[in-house]
Amino acid sequence: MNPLSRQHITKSKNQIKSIIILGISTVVLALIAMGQGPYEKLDVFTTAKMIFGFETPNDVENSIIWKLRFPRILMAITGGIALAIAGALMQGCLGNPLVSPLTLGVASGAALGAALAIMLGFSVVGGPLAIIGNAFLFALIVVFIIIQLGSMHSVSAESYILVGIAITFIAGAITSVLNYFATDEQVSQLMHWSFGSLGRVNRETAIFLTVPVICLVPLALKWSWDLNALSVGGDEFAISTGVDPAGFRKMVLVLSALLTALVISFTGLIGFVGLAAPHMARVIVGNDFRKLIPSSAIFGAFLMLFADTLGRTLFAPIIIPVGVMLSVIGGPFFMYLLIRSRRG
Amino acid sequence: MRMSDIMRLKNLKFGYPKKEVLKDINLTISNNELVCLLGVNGAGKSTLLKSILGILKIQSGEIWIDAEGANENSLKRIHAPRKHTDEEDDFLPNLTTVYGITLLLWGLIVTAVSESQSISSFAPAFLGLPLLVSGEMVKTPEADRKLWMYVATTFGILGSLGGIGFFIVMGEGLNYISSSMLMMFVTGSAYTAVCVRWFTAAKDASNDDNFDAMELAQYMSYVPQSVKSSFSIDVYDAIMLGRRPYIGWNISPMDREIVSKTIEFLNLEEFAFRKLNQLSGGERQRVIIGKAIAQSPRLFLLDEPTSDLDLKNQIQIMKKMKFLVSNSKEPKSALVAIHDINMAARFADRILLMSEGKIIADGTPREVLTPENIQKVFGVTADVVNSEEGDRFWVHVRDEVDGKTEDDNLFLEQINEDTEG
Repeated sequence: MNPLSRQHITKSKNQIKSIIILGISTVVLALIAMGQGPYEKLDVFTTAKMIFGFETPNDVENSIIWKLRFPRILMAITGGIALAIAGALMQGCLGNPLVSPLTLGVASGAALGAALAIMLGFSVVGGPLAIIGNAFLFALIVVFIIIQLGSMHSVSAESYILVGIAITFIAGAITSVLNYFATDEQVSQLMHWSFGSLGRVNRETAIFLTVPVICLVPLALKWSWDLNALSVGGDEFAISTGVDPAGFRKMVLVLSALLTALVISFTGLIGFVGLAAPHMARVIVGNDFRKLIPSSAIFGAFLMLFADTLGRTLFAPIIIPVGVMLSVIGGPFFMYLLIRSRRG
Repeated sequence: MRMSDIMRLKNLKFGYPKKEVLKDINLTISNNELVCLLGVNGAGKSTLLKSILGILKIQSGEIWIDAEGANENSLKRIHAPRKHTDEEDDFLPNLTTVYGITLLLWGLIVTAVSESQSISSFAPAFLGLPLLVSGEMVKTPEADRKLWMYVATTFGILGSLGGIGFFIVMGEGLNYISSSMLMMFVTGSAYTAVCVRWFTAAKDASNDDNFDAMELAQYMSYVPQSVKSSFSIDVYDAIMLGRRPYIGWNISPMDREIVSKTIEFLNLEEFAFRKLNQLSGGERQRVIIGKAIAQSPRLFLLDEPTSDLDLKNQIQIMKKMKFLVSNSKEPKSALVAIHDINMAARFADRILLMSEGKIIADGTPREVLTPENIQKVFGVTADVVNSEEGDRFWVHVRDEVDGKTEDDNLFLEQINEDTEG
């Protein structure tokens, strides 16, 4: 075999090894997180035995683990995966490292939907899902308008970002107007929604969210070659590699918007993980999307889990929302990584 | 048309609203031919290459390529305008319409099943109606088709899950879980149904002679003037992108061998595992050429491939291209836009002189590069100097441009005055 080929294989094997190590540490972190809480602290091995069925927990432990902590942790993992992948996809297809899953107006749309549901009672679904359903729907409507307008103007990546910013301001303005006329109670309800927390999930919603995310992730992986071509060489380079940049970009944007809207309508606004996780993954595996997508997903899950567990335990019984915690601990860590990678 | 032709362009036209760039280009490129395109800036060289590849959509004319390299019957037309059938135009809704339908159904179902029938539960229907109406007014862009294939497949899966879920929880009566399951089922099936109908219509309407982008990339590869890189990967992986048209998802040992061999062929070993953005402009240009070679196309479209290279590398790259074109087992040809007239004279089998969107001279270097032609196209006086053996010749440019030295002096004086004042 050619020495260059061998070198290439060794390099990718090493990268895959680090992805696997990352994955294992995320699972361990999840087990640790499962043991943390106000009731009693369980150590990793006990939780692992209970989760994998080697030890039958007593009734109290059973309901604490499966009914209270498991949904929250599942939600953290799924949400982290979805947001991180959405971020990686959007950065890749728009060729811009500053883009996060919230750039295309998903957040402003969701906030508008939530505000409408809270303040006017105008909601697409009734019952306990009123705010969530409305946030999801409005997030998609806003993103969809942006995508249609962006592709109408020209096919370039910049036009999407610019239209996204414009529409974000409009939706934000409407939300502000609603805020202005709302009662104090409604305003605080909206504030709580927008903090980004995992406290609202129960078992059904966590599983309901996990199914579509699992369905959509393989699609992102399938596109990784095309994303490589587009993010490395720009539009003309991508065309000569057999990718239609305009159509492809639209597909990727719709997919990442779907992933983002699914998560943030349940959790509220969590933006940081979508920006930071792909960059952290890039430090380790480079920009090859075949490895970048899995590793950003793992990084996303890890970040969310870590931030949420810290938020739950640090000032217990007060729970700091995961969105806040993420920015508090993720920001400095992110900066450290960036500075280190610049030096290296 | 001869058996050995690789591409034929017929009456190719391209322009922008206020400027015609390509006027009636007719060109046939044979197998194993290195063709150089010469001309002043803005003559249409890059535009021609881009329209052949399909980056720019031609306004009229035909592009025929020989895909199998076998005979005249294997010629296929590319970038032909899509034929639309009436049925397709009538039926195919776009994103907006599908959205509208979904919301409408959603609203109706929620209204039907929810216990408190308030105006708010009918909200999606209110949103859906205007979308439905506006959707009918916008034509479907080609890309939407592919997009909805993926989204609709996902929703199809979701829909079936919802259906199964509904049957499981149905016994509990209509609460919010069962109604969301029902909603998932209906939404999912609506998307899938639209999608299936879409594709049957699209299939009927598709033009059989049209290649998709991936097939085309197996046939021709293109080196752009500059590559805009926002994220960077290893040189090895960048060249591996040339194998993209042949790869499903996994890299086969053969693809890896081809990439390694290409790197050796272009002497890129020393930076094979460095990041693309850590290279100099010339090194990066060689990597992009490497990607084009790894693509193993039948036709190379190179837009100023030597513009960033040093003297030695310019000659080396042109030599390697010439070698590839004349010695490959399967026929290969190259169309190279280039500014260095002597490089073209030395390596081209055939030279095309372009001026104002037209090919005004076409032939061997000796036939085309005459002092008269050079004067006509470039506006400079030149001599053709033969080598002592007589097998090569150089174009020696005597004076550059008809000088306006007085104007230039005046300009300098003015600038000096301004800065002093």
